[in-house]
Amino acid sequence: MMSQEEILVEVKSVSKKFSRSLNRSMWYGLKDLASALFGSNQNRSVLREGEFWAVKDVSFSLHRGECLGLIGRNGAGKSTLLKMLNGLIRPDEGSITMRGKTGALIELSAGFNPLLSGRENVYINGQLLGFSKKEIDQKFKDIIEFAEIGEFIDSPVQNYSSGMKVRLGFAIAAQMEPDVLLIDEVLAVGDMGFVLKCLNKMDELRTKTAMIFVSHNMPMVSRMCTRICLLKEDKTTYQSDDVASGITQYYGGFRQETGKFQGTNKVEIKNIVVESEGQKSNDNGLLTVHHGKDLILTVELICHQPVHRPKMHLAFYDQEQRNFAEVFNFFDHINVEQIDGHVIFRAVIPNIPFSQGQYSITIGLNEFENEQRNMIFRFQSAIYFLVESKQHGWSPIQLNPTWELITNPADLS
Amino acid sequence: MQIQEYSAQRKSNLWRTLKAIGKEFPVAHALGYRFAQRNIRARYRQSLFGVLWALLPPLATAAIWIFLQQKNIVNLQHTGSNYALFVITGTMLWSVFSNAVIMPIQSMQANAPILVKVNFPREALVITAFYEIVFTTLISLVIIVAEIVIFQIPVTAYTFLFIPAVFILIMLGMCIGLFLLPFAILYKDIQFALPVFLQIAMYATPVVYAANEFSGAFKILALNPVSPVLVSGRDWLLGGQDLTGLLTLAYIGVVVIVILIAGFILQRIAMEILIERMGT
Repeated sequence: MMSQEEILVEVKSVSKKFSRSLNRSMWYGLKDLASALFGSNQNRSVLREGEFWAVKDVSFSLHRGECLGLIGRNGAGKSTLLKMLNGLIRPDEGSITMRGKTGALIELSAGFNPLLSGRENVYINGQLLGFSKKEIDQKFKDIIEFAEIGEFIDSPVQNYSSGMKVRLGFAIAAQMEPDVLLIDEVLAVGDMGFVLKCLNKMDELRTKTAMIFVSHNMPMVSRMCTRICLLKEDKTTYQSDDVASGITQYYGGFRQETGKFQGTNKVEIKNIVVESEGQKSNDNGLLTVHHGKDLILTVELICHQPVHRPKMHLAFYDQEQRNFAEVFNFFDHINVEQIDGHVIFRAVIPNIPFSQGQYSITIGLNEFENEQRNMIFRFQSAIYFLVESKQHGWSPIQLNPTWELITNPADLS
Repeated sequence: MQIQEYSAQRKSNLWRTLKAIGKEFPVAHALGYRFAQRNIRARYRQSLFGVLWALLPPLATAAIWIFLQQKNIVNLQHTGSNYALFVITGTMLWSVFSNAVIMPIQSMQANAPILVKVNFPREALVITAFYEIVFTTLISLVIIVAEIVIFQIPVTAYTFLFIPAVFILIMLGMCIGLFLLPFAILYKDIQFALPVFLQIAMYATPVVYAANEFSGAFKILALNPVSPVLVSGRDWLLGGQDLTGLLTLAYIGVVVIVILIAGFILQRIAMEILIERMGT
């Protein structure tokens, strides 16, 4: 019986450098080649001219049954790290120890030849992944079934849709029984049905393997991973068992991009402010709202022309750009025939039940004239704020019910 | 449970590298064979004349020289009674050699996308190249057999000495290809220069003329290792019974095998350095 405490992946202060210029890169390649062949020990931890650290000083270890989410912005070094784990390239510093068989779900249709049939390609790709011909014979039926390719199996792969290619690629790779599984952004293509099937397969593999999962798809990361490793651009890393906090940090690395202001020039937005517990947002930073406290939104407008029967609505977006909460009760409180000149709208939203993270508010204003609705403006992600909370999960809304324990169910009825 | 360690300092020496290659060889061989099968099938699937295209370049060269000789534009001596036979066999053998030089490089370059993404024994691609060369060579042999039949060349035990000569020619070509490989991956110049170089090399080898033409300063060309192999092979095939070349051939054969093994080691050490320069 395999122990749950078995360490399968051990990464110790691993670094890797790359060169920015192609010509230099080739020249350094030649030099590295010479020193590898003639055994001269150059110091690999020194950057030569034009080089930079793609990965710097990353360490972690991973047990069987764990799934590490490797996240970070483009160019943070995720793929480079994965290539080192896969043994494709050698680290310039540090060491990696991999125990057991390593499998990789990376570029699943890489070895496909477009002119050959699906059947022929299954054998080629299977052998590329380390199966013998006999093993593929045995698994062939499962592969076809999983891929849902049907009669296309004997058509040339160039006639396949991109989704079909990925499906066939995944179906072959899914037959692996690795101890360590490396996954790099493989489910980007494929319809929902197939993605669910793959996720189920990965869940099945997860208990048996140590998994390293690279993705930009945070809902997927939060679904799959038990741990998180955020590679930052300054080459520091953030590691935690708390996946949600890692994801929050990842999003924190992006600039808060206020969205597009769409609308007429009837109305000008003078100022938008959010406040909570006496603190106001200003230009210097984001307002932090504590979970369960009130949030006050102030929108200051200058109407250059009168607006008839105005109605403001709000929409809350999370970091994933999910619109998860809306406000449409404006007319219940404000029902005026017309506004003009300098006005301020104020909304007090009590007991913000949001999870820890960063949110934005989209503000829209309509007017109603002769039974007709006209848009005055819509300002996407007009203002951002942070929520700080002890409880945070992946869902943006964290409810706070009261709980009771009934030890004698008979008493209830 | 197998344990893989990757660290900054490479711990393996030449002997360990060789052992690792040996251990993975069966897998590499099976995969390489499969790849070769794939390439051959796919290459001719979209063509009407298929494998015949492989025969065209050497036959075209031979045709030009037969024309030049017949019209007395050139006057080449010592080529035996039938110049056509001499030159067709010569260009065929040369195409076997030049194909063997080019294929290892071509095989690696064509598979760059999987080299940078999938971890498999890299020797597989050299084996792929080998089988593709053998396949093309077998097609060339069709011409050779046709020659034997049409010109009623007597088949003796000496004729079969032709086969090891072809084999050594392939090995010799692959050796050169393997040693050029790392540089060809780094610098495209090799790829551009190679066809030109092979064209010149053909005329520096007794392909369309006999080795006896070397005189004076040109005697240095006799040092070309391809020459004795090609000349002896052709001689045996066309009915020659001179065994003096056999020792030279055996000598070249042994050296070539040693160099070929060294080429495999070089290739394995070089690959992980080259892959990070390959990009995607």
